[in-house]
Amino acid sequence: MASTSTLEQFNVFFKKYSRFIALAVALVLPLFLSPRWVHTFIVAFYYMIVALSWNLCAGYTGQFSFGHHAFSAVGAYAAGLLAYYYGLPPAAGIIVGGIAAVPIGFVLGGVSLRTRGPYLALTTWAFAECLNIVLRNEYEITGGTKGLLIPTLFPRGTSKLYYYYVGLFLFAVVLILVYKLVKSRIGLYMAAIRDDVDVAEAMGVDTVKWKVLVFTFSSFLAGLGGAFYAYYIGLISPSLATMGEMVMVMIIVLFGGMGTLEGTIIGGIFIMLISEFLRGIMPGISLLFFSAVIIILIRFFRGGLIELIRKLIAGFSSSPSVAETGMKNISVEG
Amino acid sequence: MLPSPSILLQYLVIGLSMGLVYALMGLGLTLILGVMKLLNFAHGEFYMLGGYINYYLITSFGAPVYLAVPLSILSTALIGMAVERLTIRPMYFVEKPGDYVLVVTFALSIFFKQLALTLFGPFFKKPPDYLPGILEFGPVRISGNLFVALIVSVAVIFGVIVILRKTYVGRAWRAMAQNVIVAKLSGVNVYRMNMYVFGLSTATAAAAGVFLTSIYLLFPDAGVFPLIKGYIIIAIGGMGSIGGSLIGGIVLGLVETFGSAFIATEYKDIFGFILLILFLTIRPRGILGEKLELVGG
Repeated sequence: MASTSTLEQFNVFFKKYSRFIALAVALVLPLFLSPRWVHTFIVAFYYMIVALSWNLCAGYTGQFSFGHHAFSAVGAYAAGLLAYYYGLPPAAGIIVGGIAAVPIGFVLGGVSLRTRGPYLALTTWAFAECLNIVLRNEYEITGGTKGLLIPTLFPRGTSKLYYYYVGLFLFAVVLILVYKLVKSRIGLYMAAIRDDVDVAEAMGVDTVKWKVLVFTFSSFLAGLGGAFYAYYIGLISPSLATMGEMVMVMIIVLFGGMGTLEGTIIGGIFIMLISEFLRGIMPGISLLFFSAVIIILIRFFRGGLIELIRKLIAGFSSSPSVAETGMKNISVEG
Repeated sequence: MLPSPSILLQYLVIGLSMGLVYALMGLGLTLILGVMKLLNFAHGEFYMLGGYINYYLITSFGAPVYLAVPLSILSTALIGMAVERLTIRPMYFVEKPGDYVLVVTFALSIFFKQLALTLFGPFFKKPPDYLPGILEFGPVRISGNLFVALIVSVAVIFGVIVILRKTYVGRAWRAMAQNVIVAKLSGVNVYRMNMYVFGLSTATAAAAGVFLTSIYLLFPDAGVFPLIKGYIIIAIGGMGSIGGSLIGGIVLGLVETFGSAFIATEYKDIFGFILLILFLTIRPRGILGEKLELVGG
């Protein structure tokens, strides 16, 4: 039985310090990676920020938006165009990108969340397609299909490590914000809305108000991510507002596990590595692959990777306490 | 400056006929929405698929038009039924299927688009003209292709109404639209009826695709805007009623035609979106305003 107890000790230790271990790994890891993989992780930070904001809507509140990538595109374009035409310093531009997405999120959410039904999915999806058309057509301002070269966060040619740490910082801030929100009273409202709108209303939750506010906040986060991404790659183009981006965001959340924060992190890293691997085989195949995987995941593994890991942990250490806490986590968070 | 009455009449006719053709997309969505309580985000991809099958039957296999058109509509319907059987039917047995089904159809849409991109390439294709040239009815001129599309769409809408009113399947569908549980209790095989209605719906999408691609061309993303229009139509007209999709289609067709004539041609597709936002703000239930218990509500 000695081995079980060490495993248990390890479990307790891991539970207590896992976030610090993860942070330490995230801080040290890029120093040993080639620029290509550092790039992969920077892009992963962008997708994970947008994925967190989508998870806030879909996973925690049960409101499915099909246009979150459009909010990040709005953030990217607002930040990029202001920097390009008016010389806005990029550091301020990231915040501006987030703020730019707020009114759009508020209007779309406010209009479509008042009525029940799939209006949000429909409206955000139509908005994303229309945004794409506008970005392509207004080529005198946006540079049309080929996009616009905008100033980057650091002068061109600087090491990617700087971007990595900025991305990590931004992601950590977003993660903490989302965590605080989910654990707050508002988080309970969100869970109530997701689980049963009627009951939530009967208990006195102003469902429409909280749905709209959470959606607006999540569009702010998506805009933030988009602005960071634009300042990293130094290019804004309508491809930011294509449905393929939405698939990436969805697969990250679904693969990791909806309605959990750990799931989004694990899913983000896994999916970006798989996507990088697939790119080597055949460009363009990843979307085909991921959309098929989404269908399979929803059919068979709706808890995602995180549930699988929890089950494994619960199965390995036969002590019921761990299994119970695992179940508790699932019932609270997902 | 107001244009002359004959030009206005011209726009009116074009707008009306475009509206009736759009109504075909709205009709397919309405069928699925009413019977299956499902919003199908992959509907536009069946439009695209029907167009591609028709195109390749005609150009690669040299099939005559009168053979290629029914064949492509039929095969798209079969693909649709297979898709429903494999990906959507299993979703009825999981808990809280509502929003997850939306994500499944969304993923299906991306899957088919990407598949078309891989198989057929990103290039624009055009099926041969069904009726070349331009027809003149007094002061009104209308392109032959649009005229054919108009005739077909009126015929299809009429056919669907007949099916709904006169056949066993149609009665079963209407029963399911009213109350699935009671329909089940009365001995309707609900799952099979779902598959059939999905097939009929994809067939209407394919019919739209076959005839509209001669006007709007064929490419992997071809189905996106017809689908958006379909949704705008049912949101304007009132979800779940065929009359609503007709009215919504005509409103949208008129708004688009006059908007692109007098405001900006390149934003033809945006007017509908503005209309959608307006309707959601002012009258969220649409013109006919039928109340419908939707999935994901």
